[in-house]
Amino acid sequence: MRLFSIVAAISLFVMPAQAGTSRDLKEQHSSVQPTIMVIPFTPKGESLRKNLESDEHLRVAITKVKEGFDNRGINTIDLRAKLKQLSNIDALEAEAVDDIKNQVIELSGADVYIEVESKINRSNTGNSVTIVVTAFDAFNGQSLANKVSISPSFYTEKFDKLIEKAVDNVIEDFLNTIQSKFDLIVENGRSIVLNVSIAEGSEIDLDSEFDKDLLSDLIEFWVEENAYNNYYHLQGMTTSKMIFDDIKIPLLDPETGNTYRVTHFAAKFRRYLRELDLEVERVVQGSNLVFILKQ
Amino acid sequence: MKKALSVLGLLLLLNACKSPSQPVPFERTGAVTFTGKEEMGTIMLYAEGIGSNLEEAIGHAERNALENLLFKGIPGSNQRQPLVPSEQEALSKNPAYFENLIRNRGYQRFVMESSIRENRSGKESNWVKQFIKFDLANLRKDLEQHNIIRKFGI
Repeated sequence: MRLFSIVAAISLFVMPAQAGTSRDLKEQHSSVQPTIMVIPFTPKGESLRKNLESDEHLRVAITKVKEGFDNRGINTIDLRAKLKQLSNIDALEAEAVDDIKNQVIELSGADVYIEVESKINRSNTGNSVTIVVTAFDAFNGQSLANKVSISPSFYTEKFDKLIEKAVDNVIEDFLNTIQSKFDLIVENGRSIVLNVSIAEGSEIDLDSEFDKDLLSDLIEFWVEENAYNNYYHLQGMTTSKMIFDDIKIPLLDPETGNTYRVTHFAAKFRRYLRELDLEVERVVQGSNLVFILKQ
Repeated sequence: MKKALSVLGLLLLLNACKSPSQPVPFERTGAVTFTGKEEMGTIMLYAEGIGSNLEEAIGHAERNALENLLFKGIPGSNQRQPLVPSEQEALSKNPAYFENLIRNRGYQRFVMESSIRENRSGKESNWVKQFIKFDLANLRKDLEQHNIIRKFGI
């Protein structure tokens, strides 16, 4: 499940027969809790599993972060249980260690994953611990929140206690930041990426005229009209390619109150392009849309 | 002797006629600071309040702490953002809830500790600096259950 898929549940809370404004719809739906998994930060080329098993301080930090979520009534997915499910993990480790993280996230069905990093700092003035926590939207990899916390320095080897202090210092703020990002998504819609390109050998390009307008202009006008609150950002354009790196789409369909998926937006765009007598090849991958046009 | 008694009697009469101190109306201020101590699920604050007597000053300090926590956020703490994102909207939509929580001191259910750190008494008013420990987790849960704020999630 991904953040986009959980919004399906949101439609249960709205009354489809009484479709109102988007603001009404936002006010009607209750929160749907995303599924969350806490994982160790694993540098490129290292094994997530080995990292988890060999570093006891990291395990303590992960447990404390999970505890912070539990205290707020938020359930988390157990990483070790998921690792066990990957029965062929050893074979995978030998081949592609980097891919395990993605596989675990995929298998867990987590909507949000939290990476935790811990570092022991030793000095003459005492020891301390640095904790780095980062939340990612598993659907599109966007960062939702990140915090760094350093425990106070003590002349102690009880790093568990220092980790506890460092996590306690930051966890509420971390959760509040994630929630404020969720609120922004509800308010402003979700981000998708749209790539439009011209197929090789095609007779047209983005500068071709369609009823006195350039094709690129027509596409941009359409995106502007159909983006949530008309918000979009055009990253760049050539005669053969347009990249919209941020187009907002609503969580709920403003007309029906049902979940609004990326595929809805893609279908609408495809219909528009077909009206222009263009042949369209379409790929939807997570929050990325790729359209290849030809005539 | 007779004259002295008369003067004493007059003084007693004047004292009896003197009106009691007028209640000091509550005014929210920014005089709420984080103690620097973190404990998961709680928040510990110092808050100042002024009242016509000590009891009223303590009540005002507690209310000041609560209102800052709810509507403004506490700089330097884990709760930098307010618990209630839009004060005006929340107050206008849920007047009964806030009447009970704030004015009728329903917040006492979430006060784990409240003790005087400093206080000064003047002729007309009392000033107090109060240490207050709130059960933040349950305060947030209460706000969620009454649909004042959204639960964690999208």
